[in-house]
Amino acid sequence: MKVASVEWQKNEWKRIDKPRTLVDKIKEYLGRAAKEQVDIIVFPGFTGCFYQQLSCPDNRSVRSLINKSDAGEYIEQVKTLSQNYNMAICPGSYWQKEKGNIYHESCLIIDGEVQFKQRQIYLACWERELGFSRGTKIELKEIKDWKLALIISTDVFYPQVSRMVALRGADIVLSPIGFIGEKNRSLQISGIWQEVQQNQFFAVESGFNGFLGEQSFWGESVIYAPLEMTKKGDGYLERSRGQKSLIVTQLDNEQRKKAISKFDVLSQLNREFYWQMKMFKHLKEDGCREYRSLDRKMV
Amino acid sequence: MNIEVLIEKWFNKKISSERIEKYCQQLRVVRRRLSEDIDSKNVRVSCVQRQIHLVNSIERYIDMLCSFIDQAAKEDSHLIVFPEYNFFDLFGLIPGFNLLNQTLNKKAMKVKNRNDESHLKGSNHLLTTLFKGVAKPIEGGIKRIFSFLAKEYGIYIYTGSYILKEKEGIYNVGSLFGPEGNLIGTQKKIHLTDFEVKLGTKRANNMEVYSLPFSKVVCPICMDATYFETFRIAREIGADIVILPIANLEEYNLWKALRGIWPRVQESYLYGLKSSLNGWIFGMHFTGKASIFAPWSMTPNKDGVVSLSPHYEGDSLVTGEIDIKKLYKEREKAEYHEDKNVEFEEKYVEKTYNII
Repeated sequence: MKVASVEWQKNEWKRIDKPRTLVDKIKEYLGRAAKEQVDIIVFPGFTGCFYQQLSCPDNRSVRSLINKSDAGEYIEQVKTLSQNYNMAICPGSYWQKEKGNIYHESCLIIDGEVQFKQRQIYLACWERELGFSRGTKIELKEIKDWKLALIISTDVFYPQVSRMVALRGADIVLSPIGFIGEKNRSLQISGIWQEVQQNQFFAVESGFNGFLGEQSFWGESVIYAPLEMTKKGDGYLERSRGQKSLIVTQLDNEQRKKAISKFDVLSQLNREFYWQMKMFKHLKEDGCREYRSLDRKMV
Repeated sequence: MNIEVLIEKWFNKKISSERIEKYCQQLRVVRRRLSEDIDSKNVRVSCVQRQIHLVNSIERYIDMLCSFIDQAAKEDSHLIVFPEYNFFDLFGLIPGFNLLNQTLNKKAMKVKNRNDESHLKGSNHLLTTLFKGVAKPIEGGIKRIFSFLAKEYGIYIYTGSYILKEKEGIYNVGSLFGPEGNLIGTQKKIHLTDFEVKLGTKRANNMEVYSLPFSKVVCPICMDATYFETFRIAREIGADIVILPIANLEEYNLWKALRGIWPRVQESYLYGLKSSLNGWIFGMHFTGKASIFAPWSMTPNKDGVVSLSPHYEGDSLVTGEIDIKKLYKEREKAEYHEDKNVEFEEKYVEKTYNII
């Protein structure tokens, strides 16, 4: 399976001033990926949100943007593009409104069809403050005998999400991301890099280095594998280092299985311990009421 | 009489309570009283990194422990943490072991490109017998020694891990002693390595949290930090500090080391205290750096490191200050952590681990 991840630097995002320009840029990268016979391509987190921003030039804050959030147009554009390319496309992430709730969501598109969608399950502080809602389910999709899952942005810091997809058999995790605050490599390593190591799937991460309203984002695009199967033993198959706008690599599931046989983390899970100790004990105590009221406050 | 019983008898003689008490009484420890009001904003902790040195008497073993505790006391530490398998040095009490060990180590050093570092091929039965034989005497000895030293130095001591024999099963466990010499608790290892599985080691299904005057601590062991579940549960039961002794049976590599306690600390917003055993024994090579970790946002270089040993081999003591009140504040403002999703988390264990 050949995978690719896109990364555009801040000055490139700044040059995109119309929805059409963004669609053309996506098309350009699909073309480049197609030349390399890529099977799956991941665009940066928040790419759809950026499209939404370009579509509403009068809305200059994230708060005003999300109130008009409708990802439909962006998804339609990518669906149309996808019909010309023989590859699975993760269009990055976008904000999706449903029954008055706003979700941070991503999906996988093949040949004009949305194959599956994934909503972000945990929220960052800034997302809570803006009143976003949380997804509650995880879906996996099998493509060419590979099981795929999507883990979006904030969810990379919640290991319970990665563990669930790993135990459902995910071979590859697609991860459109973008972080706010000071650029910090430690933060990114504490995300999907370490989830790959403790779950031993592949991950294709695509970082957003643009801006939404007043908010600036950062994130490196990287393709990860278990340490044991990477050349330098560092878990990186390919990374942009802020120098490359498209990274491509071939994933070998047989090699991954060999790597797992050298360090088989999941074989030593202690289910009885997790069951006895109640991993989310707070649900049984004061937590439920407290967190629900917190949600209401945020909205 | 079988080998296990012979070994036990031998060790009972070499690590007798009389011998330990007699020697401890001779130690000239400058007694220190730990203040009862430790400020949780300023807790000093020390983690031991040490090399295995086979000893020919229990007295030399006590001297070695004292050298670290003495240094920690001089650095005004409230707590010192010893590493996993902190008793390996005592195999030097077995006649001829030194020579056998040298031979095994030399042989192993010669084998290049070892494909399977975590397996001790062919020797599991012998090691199991050895571990079972030494378990009771070493458990008794370690408890006596650390109780005495904790009281004399007026310091909290985590013993590092040793073997506990219980109903013919063996566990990898460590104990925490208070500054009055009192045993606060003993925690068994929860997740095992392949090596331990082959030895027939059993695992625990529970974890206790210990309330100290300055914080609540848990004491999982080594491999337990490979699993986020351990730290998730530590938070659920109220822990602020995780004491983690390690003895990594692999060649050192920064990235391999990063699979352990460091990411766990980042995702669970706890302090992590890692002590480490290194060196060669039975033809096995252990490596690892002692370190003190905190969530990255709390550390000066924004890398999650409070204190870190410069080398992965040899002896050193890392000491650092931790601030529990600051940790609580950081949890409140953590941008990418501390969120809850009640609906997703409900029945998470059943849904994820196929428990019906």
